[in-house]
Amino acid sequence: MHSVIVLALVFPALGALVAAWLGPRLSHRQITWIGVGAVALSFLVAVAAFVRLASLPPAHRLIQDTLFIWNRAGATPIHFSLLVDPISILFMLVITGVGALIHLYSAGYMDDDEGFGRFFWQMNLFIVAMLLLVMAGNFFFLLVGWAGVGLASYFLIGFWYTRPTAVAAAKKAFVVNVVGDVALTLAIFLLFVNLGHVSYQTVFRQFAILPIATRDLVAALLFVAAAAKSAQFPLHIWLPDAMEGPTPVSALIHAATMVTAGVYLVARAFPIFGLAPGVATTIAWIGGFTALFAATIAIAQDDIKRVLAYSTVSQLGYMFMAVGTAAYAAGVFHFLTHAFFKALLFLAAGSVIHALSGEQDMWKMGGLRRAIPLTAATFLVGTLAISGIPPFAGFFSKDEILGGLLSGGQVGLWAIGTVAAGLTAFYMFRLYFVVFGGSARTKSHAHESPAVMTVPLVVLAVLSTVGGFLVLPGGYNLIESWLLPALSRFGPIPPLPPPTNWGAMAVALVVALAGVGSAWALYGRKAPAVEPLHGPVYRFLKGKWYIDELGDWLIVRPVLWLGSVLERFDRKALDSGFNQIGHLVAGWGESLRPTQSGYVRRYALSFAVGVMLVVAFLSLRP
Amino acid sequence: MNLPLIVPPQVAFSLISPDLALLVTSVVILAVALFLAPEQGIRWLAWLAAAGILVAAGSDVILLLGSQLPATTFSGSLVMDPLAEVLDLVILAAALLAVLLAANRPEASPDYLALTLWSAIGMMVLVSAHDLIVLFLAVEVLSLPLYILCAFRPDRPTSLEAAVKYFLLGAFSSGFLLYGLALLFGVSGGTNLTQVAAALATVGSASLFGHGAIGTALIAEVGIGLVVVGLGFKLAAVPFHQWVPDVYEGAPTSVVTFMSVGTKVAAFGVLARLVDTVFVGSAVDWQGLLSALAVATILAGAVLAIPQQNFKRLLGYSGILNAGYLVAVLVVGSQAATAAGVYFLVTYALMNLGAFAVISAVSGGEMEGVMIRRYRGLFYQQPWTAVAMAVFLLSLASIPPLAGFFGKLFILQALISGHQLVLALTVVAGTAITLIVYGRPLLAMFSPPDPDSPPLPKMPMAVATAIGCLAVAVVAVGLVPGAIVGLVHGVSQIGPLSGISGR
Amino acid sequence: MLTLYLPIVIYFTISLLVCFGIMGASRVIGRPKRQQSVAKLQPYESGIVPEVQLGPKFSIKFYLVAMLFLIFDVEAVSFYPWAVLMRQLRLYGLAEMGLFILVLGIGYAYVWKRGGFQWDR
Repeated sequence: MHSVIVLALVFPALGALVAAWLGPRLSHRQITWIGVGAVALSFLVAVAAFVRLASLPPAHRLIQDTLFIWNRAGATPIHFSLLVDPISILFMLVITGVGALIHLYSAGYMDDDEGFGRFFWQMNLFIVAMLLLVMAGNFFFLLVGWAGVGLASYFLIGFWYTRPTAVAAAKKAFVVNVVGDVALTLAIFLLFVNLGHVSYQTVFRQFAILPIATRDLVAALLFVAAAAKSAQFPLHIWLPDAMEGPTPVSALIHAATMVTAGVYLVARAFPIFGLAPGVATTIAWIGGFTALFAATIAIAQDDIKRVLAYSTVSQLGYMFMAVGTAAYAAGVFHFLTHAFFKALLFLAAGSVIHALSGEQDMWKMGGLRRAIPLTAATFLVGTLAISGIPPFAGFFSKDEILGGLLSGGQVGLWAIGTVAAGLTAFYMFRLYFVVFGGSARTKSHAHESPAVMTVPLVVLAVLSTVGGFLVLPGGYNLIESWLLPALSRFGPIPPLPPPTNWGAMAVALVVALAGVGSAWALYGRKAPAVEPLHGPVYRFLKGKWYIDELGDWLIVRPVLWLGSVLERFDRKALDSGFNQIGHLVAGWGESLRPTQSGYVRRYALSFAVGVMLVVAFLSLRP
Repeated sequence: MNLPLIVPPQVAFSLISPDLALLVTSVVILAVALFLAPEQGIRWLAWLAAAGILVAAGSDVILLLGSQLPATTFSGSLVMDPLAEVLDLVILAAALLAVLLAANRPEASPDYLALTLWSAIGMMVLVSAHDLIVLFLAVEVLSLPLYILCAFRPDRPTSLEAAVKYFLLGAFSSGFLLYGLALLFGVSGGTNLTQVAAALATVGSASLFGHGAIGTALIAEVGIGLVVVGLGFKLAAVPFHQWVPDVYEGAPTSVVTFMSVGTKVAAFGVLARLVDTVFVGSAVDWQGLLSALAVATILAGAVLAIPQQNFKRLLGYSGILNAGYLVAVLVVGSQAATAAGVYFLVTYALMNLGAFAVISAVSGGEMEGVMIRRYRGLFYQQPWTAVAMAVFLLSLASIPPLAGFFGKLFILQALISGHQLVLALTVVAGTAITLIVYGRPLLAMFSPPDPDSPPLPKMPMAVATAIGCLAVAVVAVGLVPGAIVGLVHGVSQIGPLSGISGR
Repeated sequence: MLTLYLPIVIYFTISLLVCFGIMGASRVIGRPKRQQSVAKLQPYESGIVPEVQLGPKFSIKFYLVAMLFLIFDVEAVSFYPWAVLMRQLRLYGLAEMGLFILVLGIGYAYVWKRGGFQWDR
């Protein structure tokens, strides 16, 4: 098994190289084979690694592979090492498995796009970076993957680079992500300076010896990094805009995988957060606030993809609530089911958009249930799953989180989560009823998508239906028994989650059904032609709490003002100063030129003078 | 008459197999050329030379991987250790590239090939020299073919001018070197470096205005000073540098490619060995001398490079600048510092060979082709060539994550851990200035082309391959600096002279 | 101790003074550049205008032949020690010298082939 796991990286890397190099000369069909095949092969490697891990005794489930020494810094060599353990293998399976499905779907979705080859090599590049992120054996290569997914995301959001909005969104995403990158880099610097190591095992083992202030600072920086990548308040602003990218990108990067990197980071570095309880609590509360806050915004959005984007932000909030309260198994479980149903929802939305030739405003849709029945059915499955209706996957994972919160005494968080769950059911069914229910609001010739797109929909729908049974309330908990022995290797075992809380489950179910019911009452039964809601609260929500505007006033404008002041200072004082230095140095260059006269006799003379200086220097030294 | 019995020296031929391979190849080339018409079959001879170089490199690698090193041969006058073998590999790479570049050029002839190989032998012997006489002979064997090679475009006055200048100044410097070596011999009574080191260790320090015994101490000081002068000329240290731009400009580009790397490697190697064996034990203020040389060299090289319009002259000054870094790192005098210098040399060789190879390919032997303005819009005519050149220039400017960055980084590390803060600051200042220097051709390559510039010559396959390999190597070494660091650490761990110098 | 070297220092100082003194004097005594005439720049031949260029011309081929002669001549010197020690060196010396002559011979043949000895080329 050793050294085979690197193949998981190699295949998509080769795919990206080949598609980038030969892309213009290959047919769409060939590119599809390369792009999808590379990810599928990578998936097979992940499956093999999973089988291998499962065959090991629980306490020894770890594959570590050191390929080479990347560099030496001081006395410490930094290895390029890969680490596959029960946490990372789950992420790997999702990244490559869901990734392969989405690649396949893209072959249909992007077929009439000029940048077909470019799309595929950038998607493969993303897969490489994301796999490196979760497979890295130390913080350094985690950072490489971390920055790599940011880059791939930047490429893909700005994929249609002729649209100004796409370019602006890409820039925004990149800037916000860099905030996180810087925080992560600083955290790694702190660890390296204080511990002299960057490998996970050493860092986690020695972390406790650091002073409390340093521990909290490292944990806080790691959280800022996680929040930026996983779109937690107030760094969530980039994710809704990122929907400017092609829909498969939104499904893969901005729903299923990359945005969960923050969850991965917190789960991976849990010994660090375990020793910084204050930061962990902050994570949970920010997660809770984000879950509620994004859910309220999603109610008032009209763009089908923006609704889904805010729901992603909200669901990520749930995961942070879980990992912030040390319920890592619940958080990872929700990541898993969310990857299934959110990818499904995005792909189904993409199928809708594809059917309507690019239309994204849900108030211009309607009655699509009859026109594209398969898409409608799979979308309904996704909606049921995210709303927490049993027996679909979301019910189990969301309940795992909420029940854990209530049993753990976090009543406030539990209340927030439950309210948000009701809102989720409401806005998701609002979306479903408006898009698929009633009758067509505008004339269209909707058509069902080709099989290459519907097959992934069906597969994901099946997964969204049965994925929840990994945990049976009151029964077994496969995720937990898979993860906890592995976690105990790195640090103190987090507290065992309490047994199933039936009360919380009942409340959640009632609230969800209430959300569905009110959505039916408002949008389903009457099938209104325009938004029936209005009033200042609605406008406030539609305006997304005016966070963008607030950010504009609080950050962007002051920075721009400061920028203009500094620019003036720079131009007037610094720039001319540096220019003076530049001219001075260049002037020396000019003034020294005559020494290079071209006459050998002069050269010999200066040589001789040099010899005299050397001899004088050595012999006249006092 | 009863003559003493003469015992022929025991020679381990396996140790000098790289040198022997080159020697045999060169003689075979001349012998084969006897039976060819003057202009016929030069391609084949070039491939023969390349094959010989590869054989030499192969036996070099075998020596490096084997367990024979370090060892001495020729009664202790040659020392074969990892330092020498690694530097030999760099020299061989330079020679190989010179042969490849010359294969399609007017300068190609059997003489050219043989002279290049002989000069390479001189360089390889020089980095192994452990004896004053061998040292001087190696310097001459290295230099004489280069003087001739510089004149290999007799149709061009600048080529002849370069050769004459190089020859006159080279002879001048050889005089000082020989004088210095003679003085060291006078102090120690022996020519082996071990003897010299032992003798110098017993000589105290002296000053004309200080106390202590003046006689031998003064001789030792002047001797070391003059040896540094002679080798500083080969290394292109200021103020013994003035031949460099003129010779680089006038000599054929393939020759410049070879000598810019080869001479520097050889001079650094022998200087490092002298520092390690002889200087450190002596009371002479060699550190002060080398520091002064380094500061002058770095600053003058960087500043003078700015106004250059000719790419080869520009790289000439850049060579002076980089020689300054090498002298600076020698000041520290530790084996870790030598390792940093070797690492820097390897990276410098990669990017410098690459840059000259591109110049050679783009100019196609035309004088106008080496002007920086000729590179305007190169990216739009030969995108890959421009990208490769950009890699080399950015690496020379030590932009991370390219090879040059790590070379500079390790030098700075060595200087700081050796408490040479002034030198470290000078290195930083030199690097800052070079951003201007290398920025200009970079800018030119990516600006729109002149509409009336003539089309570029087609690049031979072998040259394109070489450029590609070098560019990939520069990027790869930057991405995975650990690979070569390991090798170089091996050099420093075994130590250039452990078990020989007695330290 | 220093007194030992005093004469050398004095000698050194005087020679420097003479050197720079003469150069300085010629600069002071000689007229400024703009007052120089063609006649002043010509070699001094007791007032008579020179009719021929000084220094005879001869062909560069002399140098070439002289150089080649020198090389092979000096190489031949290496034979003497061998000849004296031939018995002590035995087969080793013989082989060494054979190799030496072979390499020298190839060089000689090569120069010949390249036309190094042809005078009228």
